[in-house]
Amino acid sequence: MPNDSDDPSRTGSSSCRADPGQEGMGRRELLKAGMGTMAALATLAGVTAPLLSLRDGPSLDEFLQRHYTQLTPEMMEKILARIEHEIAFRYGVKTSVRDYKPIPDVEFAYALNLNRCNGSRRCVYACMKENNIPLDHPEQAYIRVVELDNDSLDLEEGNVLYNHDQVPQEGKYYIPIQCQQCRKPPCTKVCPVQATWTEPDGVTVIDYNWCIGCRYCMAACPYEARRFNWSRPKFEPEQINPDMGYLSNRIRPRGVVEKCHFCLHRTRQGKNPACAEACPTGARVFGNIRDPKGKINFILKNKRVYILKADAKTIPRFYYFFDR
Amino acid sequence: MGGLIMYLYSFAGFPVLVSALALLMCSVSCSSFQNQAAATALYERPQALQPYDIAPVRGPTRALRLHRDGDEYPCTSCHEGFTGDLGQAALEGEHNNLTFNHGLNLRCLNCHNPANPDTYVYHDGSEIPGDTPTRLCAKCHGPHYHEWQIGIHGRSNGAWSAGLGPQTVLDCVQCHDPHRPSFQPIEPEPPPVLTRFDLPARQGHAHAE
Repeated sequence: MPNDSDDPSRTGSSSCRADPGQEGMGRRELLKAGMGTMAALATLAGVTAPLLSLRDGPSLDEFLQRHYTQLTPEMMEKILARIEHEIAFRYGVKTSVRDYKPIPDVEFAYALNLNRCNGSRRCVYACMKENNIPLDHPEQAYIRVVELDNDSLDLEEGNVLYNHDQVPQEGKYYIPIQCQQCRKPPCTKVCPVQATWTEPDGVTVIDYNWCIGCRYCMAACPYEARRFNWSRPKFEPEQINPDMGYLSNRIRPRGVVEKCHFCLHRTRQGKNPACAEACPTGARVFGNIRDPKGKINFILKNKRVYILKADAKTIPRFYYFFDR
Repeated sequence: MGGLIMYLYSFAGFPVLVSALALLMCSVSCSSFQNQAAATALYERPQALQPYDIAPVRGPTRALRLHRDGDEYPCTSCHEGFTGDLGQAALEGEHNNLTFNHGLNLRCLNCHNPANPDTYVYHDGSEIPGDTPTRLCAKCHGPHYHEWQIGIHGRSNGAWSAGLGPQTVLDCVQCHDPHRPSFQPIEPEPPPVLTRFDLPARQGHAHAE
């Protein structure tokens, strides 16, 4: 009713008076209002139409799920059952999704022998198979192996896409880079919804159901260790690793960030991470840094240790070391 | 219905409306999940399947034997009462397929036992059994042997700490050829494709043929 106040004949009249001249206007107003409502509804239906065809969208339970730290064991049981059900529906695979808890008095740390690593990328592909990353998307892999000249440590000059017949090449060395599990992680600091945090055993994890996909953490990470799921991953049933952890290798939905989690579903059960299992040269050493007689502490005390981008002051739990 | 929506709209604005609609649709898709998943049989991966290769580069540790044409011969079948200078020149004959490059260690009998050729020899002349050569390597490579015992040289599979479960520690000869101990170059796995511009370059070779 935009012209209401401009019309002098109607300024003083009450709208409910039964005036024969005004009755037609009332019906027209009613029609107008009705048309307006219908138009608004139609617009709304048009705007929300994509939601109807959205098969990727969250289910009601997922929509109402609370933050990981607020979940009771009973709620987690239901969530895990729901995730197993969704994977069964989408991929036709029977899986077991568990929420593995940290082992008390254990803080994980990694050491990698740069004299031994020969750049064979076995760790990269073992990681992809273990952590349900589609093999036709190798750019999503958590580990990148950088080839560098022997007398340089300039990562900008490094080559990730080397494709030789044989490695190692003369005059080159290889440095695999994955999440460094920092003690002062910039990625968790910038997360606007606290979907990523550091666990008591030193592993920075992501709740894929809480992540909103803003990618701030990817911008904050000095090691470029985080990956974004641009699409929902596609698998043949036999490619899927059925042993899944809620915070680790369960199949990620589209639009969330993921990264290396030291294979939490394996290491919290006492097993080696997949990359250390598959390394043909034995360059990778995984252990508990709180064990004073453990492997990691032996390396820290007796070897020349290098910390990647130490000037970023992130204080990683991932150490590179040299034999000679 | 329309009036209700307009009422909601005026009361709490657009977000409430959208979330209410979203909830409605979510509940619809939720029920369809349950119907369809129950209808199909699920694939179950065998527990024993190892999806990635964890086999040692040189296979399992074998007893000291001559391997020729798929057969095994004990060393004593030729070396019974065999005398003579077993220097590098003796790699001719049955052993001519060996590539020998072990630094300063140039004499066969530094490792092989002249008294019993099926075994190795320690500093004091005592025997080291032919199927456990690790102690033989420790004769010279003490620091590496020490690091191997701690667990920071070589690979171990299974548990990340010995107390947490079964652990398989690889022997020296499962990675190193004793006659040519430096780790041999291997073929790398394919590189990651970082941008779409990398893709045609890699596939171009296949199309050109």
